[in-house]
Amino acid sequence: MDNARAAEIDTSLKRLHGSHNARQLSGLHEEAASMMADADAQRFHLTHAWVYALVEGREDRIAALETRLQNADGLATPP
Amino acid sequence: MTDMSALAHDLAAVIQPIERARGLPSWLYTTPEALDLERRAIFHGGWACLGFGKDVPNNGDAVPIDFLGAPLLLLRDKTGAVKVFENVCRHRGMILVEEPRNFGGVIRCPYHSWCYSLDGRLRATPHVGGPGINSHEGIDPETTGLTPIRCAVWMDCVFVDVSGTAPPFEEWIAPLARRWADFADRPVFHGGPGSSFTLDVNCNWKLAVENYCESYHLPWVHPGLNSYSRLEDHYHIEEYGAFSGQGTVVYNPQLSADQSFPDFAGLPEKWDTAAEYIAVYPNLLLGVHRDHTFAIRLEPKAHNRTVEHIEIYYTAPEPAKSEDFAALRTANARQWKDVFIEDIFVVEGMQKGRTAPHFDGGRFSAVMDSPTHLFHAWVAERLHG
Repeated sequence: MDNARAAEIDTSLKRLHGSHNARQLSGLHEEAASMMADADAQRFHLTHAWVYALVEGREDRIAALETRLQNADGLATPP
Repeated sequence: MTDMSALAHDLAAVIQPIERARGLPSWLYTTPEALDLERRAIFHGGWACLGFGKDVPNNGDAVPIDFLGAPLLLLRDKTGAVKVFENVCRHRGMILVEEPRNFGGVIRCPYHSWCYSLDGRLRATPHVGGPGINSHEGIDPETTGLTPIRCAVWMDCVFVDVSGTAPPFEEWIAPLARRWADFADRPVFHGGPGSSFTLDVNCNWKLAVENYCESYHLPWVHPGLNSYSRLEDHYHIEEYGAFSGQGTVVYNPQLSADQSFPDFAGLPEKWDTAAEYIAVYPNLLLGVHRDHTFAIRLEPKAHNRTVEHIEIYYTAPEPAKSEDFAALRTANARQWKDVFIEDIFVVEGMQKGRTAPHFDGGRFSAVMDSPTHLFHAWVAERLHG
């Protein structure tokens, strides 16, 4: 893991906390997920990336993140 | 503590022929308990006006409204439909939206980030099954959406039925829709920020209704109006159990020597000189004219304080929005604001008068006060059960 980049992401997430910048928050969490070796940690960040994509309302990103979460057993597959 | 038997006795005195009737008892104007009773029996017990469509002009706009203690969310969804929900997350009851804003996507609860689409559907429950597990069999999105509130839009006024048990809106509004069929199905166009103002008045909300729906006071309180539209030019409007008000056969606005607003197209001839002003019970005061309409939503803030939200509409986008009509719109808003300000001392004076120990609700002129008596009787029946 790139510790320096991970620290930058962490700093950015704290700075953006409470802001309405859902696009940036979603992107940062998705990037953070890609840097995690642990599956649980990946799923945690993917969850946040998904929520902020929902807030932004970008359907393509929402669908992609939902697929990743479903594949990671983090979201039920629609019946 | 409310003496309900005494109240029932006083309300029975209101529901008498006008010659013998007394007005509503002072208790209903001077105590917080009365407003609480009215909240349950009237404002949350049937159709009432919550706001205006113009408050949410764009898809995704949402406005939180405290509706006599009920936190509601007025929004315009992705299809352009106006909807009202309880402004509360179905998880832990957190308030969802604190200030007006536009939502491009979902509404996210700021507490645990449960998310709702603008049609109220529960869209996401992050970590609900543990960290990173976003579904759980105990939470069914199909039954855990935002709680919808029955709503309808008519002449841009948004009505809600918090109880969910009132008659269908179309049935409820039908008497007025029939009376104003010449206006009811037309689009109206809000005049913008200058056509929107509020008045904060130290009186019970009912006094604002009572004063609005009768013409008896015009020569004494509105000499400017009376100079061209005399008392004898007015007539009563009365629909039992629904609304009351007044009309005039002399509507002749003179805002400008060389400009006027365009009329609604194809109106019957009677509207060339007529105008009508109706109080739609409980809290909406409407006025229609051939060239504009207005709506006043009464927001009870306390038993002795009411905010009047006044909105003025025009017949087409041009008179409502264009710079060519800006000065005329300003003059029209100024004229109405002056008229409504002229009413403040009487409604505030009646509020003060209701603390008189021996005031018995007052008597009515059988000829001039029948619209007011109709409103009193409606309130009495709603509270009497």
